[in-house]
Amino acid sequence: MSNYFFFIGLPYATIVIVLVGTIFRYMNFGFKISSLSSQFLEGKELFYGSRPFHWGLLSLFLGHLIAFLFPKSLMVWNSVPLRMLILEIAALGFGITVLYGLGMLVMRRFKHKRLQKVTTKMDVLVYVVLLTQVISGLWVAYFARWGSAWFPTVLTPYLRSLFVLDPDITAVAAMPLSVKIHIVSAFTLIGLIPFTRFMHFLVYPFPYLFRSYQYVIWNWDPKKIRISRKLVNGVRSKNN
Amino acid sequence: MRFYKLKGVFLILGMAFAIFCKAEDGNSLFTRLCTPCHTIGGGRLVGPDLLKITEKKDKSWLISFIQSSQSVIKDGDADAIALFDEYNKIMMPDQPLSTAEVESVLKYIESKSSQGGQAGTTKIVDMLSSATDDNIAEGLLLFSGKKSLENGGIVCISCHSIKDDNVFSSGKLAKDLTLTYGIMGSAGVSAILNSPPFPAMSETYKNNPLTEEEILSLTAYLRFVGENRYYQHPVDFGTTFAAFGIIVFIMLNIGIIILYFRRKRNTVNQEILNRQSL
Repeated sequence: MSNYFFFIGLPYATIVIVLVGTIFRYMNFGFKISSLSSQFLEGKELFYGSRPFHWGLLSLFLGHLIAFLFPKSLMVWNSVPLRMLILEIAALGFGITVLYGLGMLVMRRFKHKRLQKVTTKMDVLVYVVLLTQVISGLWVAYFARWGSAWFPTVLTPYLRSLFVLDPDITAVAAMPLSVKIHIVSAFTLIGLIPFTRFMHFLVYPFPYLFRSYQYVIWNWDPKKIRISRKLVNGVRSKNN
Repeated sequence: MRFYKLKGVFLILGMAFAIFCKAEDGNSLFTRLCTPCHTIGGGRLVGPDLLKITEKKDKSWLISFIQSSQSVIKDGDADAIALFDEYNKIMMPDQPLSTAEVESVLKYIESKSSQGGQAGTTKIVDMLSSATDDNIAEGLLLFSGKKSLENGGIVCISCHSIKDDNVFSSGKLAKDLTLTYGIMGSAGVSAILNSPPFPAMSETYKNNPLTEEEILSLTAYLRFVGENRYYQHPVDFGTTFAAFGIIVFIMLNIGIIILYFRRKRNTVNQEILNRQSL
């Protein structure tokens, strides 16, 4: 019963929630879609968390996507054991990078009071789901290796069966707990997209690449204002 | 109004979901899941002959045992434990079947039993009587992935480990196969390779079955490994794997720092933030 719920019910519920939720949010609150960047409040530590996290995550996402879209190519690649090992080691490295980046981001957010003020309950949920996803992924990579070898023949048919509306959970139901947790947290993560900062995953500021330069004109000496200490004495600053 | 539309969408999806829940008939379920280890009137294989099993055992007991034999054994059921011991403690895999599906299998067994058994059921003879050293060498190549399987299936080390110094970097998803031959014999091993009863393995080789020659070589190789296991001391690849993963992680981070070396290191308002914290 739980297998039917988690591997048939949850994926379809997720797809419906993502489709309906994102369209609803975009149509009604389009201008509120944002990654809720906190770079303005703290930028130094953000770099050491955000860059490894995003590079690692994008690489792993692409890897999973290739395994789903081109399973035969992956099987041909893995038919030589050395090539499979190179792929697995690279994927493990990216996984550790994601965990490190995420850890840095979580620590940064709870370390700075300024960031705590802008942290919502949904942000905490996002961290919990992401941590579950990454840790279970590393668990699979190490204790249920070699994932890249069995993914194309075990999980790709399952995912494909979902997309063709003929779900077949026979193989996935027999997978170890780590794999099940990884799949369930992945669907949960996708289902959270419309309600959280994950939404920025679907929206890209492409116009920035093509727009004209914007001029910022200061009407006073900016350096003099910036270094002013008068704010402490209760004099209102003019530039913020 | 918008919420009523949403409810409609959920209702339609719910109905569609109900339609997806399909059922397979007893005949095809038995052929796919049971025949590698059982016969109906053909004698013992890996597991017992199921002729008239519905008359010998209670239906509810059979349903529980088929769905999860290990759970029944763990619950301390005397019959289940005796059966487990009698068949060399070979674990029967849990079957992700609904009660209705198990009942359809039991009906199929019942109908075949009333006809005196399954037509065409034959005992698997020891195929290794014709096996040579070449088969063992071939089995090693197939198992370790140094030679691809003819129909394009994934190689054994993708999921399995084995105690053999020649096999490097074994998989950990599924069971270690060192003792498999000793427990199951050639009949059991070849039956499983021919028609895997384990769901993940069955899915894997559904469209890429092993050839008869490959089954012979792999079975011969498993027998060889089982017999020579005391002379083998393979090194676990896990530590090396983790170490290389950490090296990749360090290299990635160094690469990221180099790539963004000329980044703006402070936010545009850093001076204002510093001033506020005075």
